[in-house]
Amino acid sequence: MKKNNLIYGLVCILLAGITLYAAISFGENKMVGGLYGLTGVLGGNGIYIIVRYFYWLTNKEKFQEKLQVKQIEQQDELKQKIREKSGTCTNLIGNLIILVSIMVYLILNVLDIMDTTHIIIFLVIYLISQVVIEIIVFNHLLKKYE
Amino acid sequence: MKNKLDELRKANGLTQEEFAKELRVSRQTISAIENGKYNPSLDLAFKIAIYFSKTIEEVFTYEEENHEKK
Repeated sequence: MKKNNLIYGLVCILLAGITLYAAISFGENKMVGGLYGLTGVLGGNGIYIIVRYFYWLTNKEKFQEKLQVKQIEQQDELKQKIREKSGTCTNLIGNLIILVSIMVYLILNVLDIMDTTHIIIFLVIYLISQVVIEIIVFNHLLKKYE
Repeated sequence: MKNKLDELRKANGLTQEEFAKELRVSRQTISAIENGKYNPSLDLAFKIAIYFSKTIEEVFTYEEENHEKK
């Protein structure tokens, strides 16, 4: 396993220390809950990475085998094809969910049940950005084949 | 597309897992090709044929009717 992983783990621990210090310093601020959460995430992640680093360091052969399997799984053409299809399907379902959400919030807004103007604006922008980004990325990838 | 992969693999005494490892693909890919559920890329088809010291035509048979139905 690369030494970068150990450094990354240590950086996470360091950042966790900083956020913990900030959380303690802030006292009873609204941000404190979020900072403690961030400390947990960073600290937990850092410890996990460090433990994993030392575990694989003592099991080099097993790690090489695992790495090889991972590489094969990533480059496998059938799985790449399935990932592509699942991505397209997920994107389509996601866009439909956003569209339905827009309609639901619009109705709630029109009926004066809830002020959802900001949510509607956000969802519309998000939906448009999804379509635009998809076109841009598609054209960019297509250019690579020309 | 029909293929003789199952036959050739067994004749060489290989399991799907072992053969997949040789070609650096997943076991599921080999299984899907053997069952005719997946047509491999040209690159993989060549790799398979070369592995068995055969030509692509000897391993894979193109069937237009089936292809159109799919």
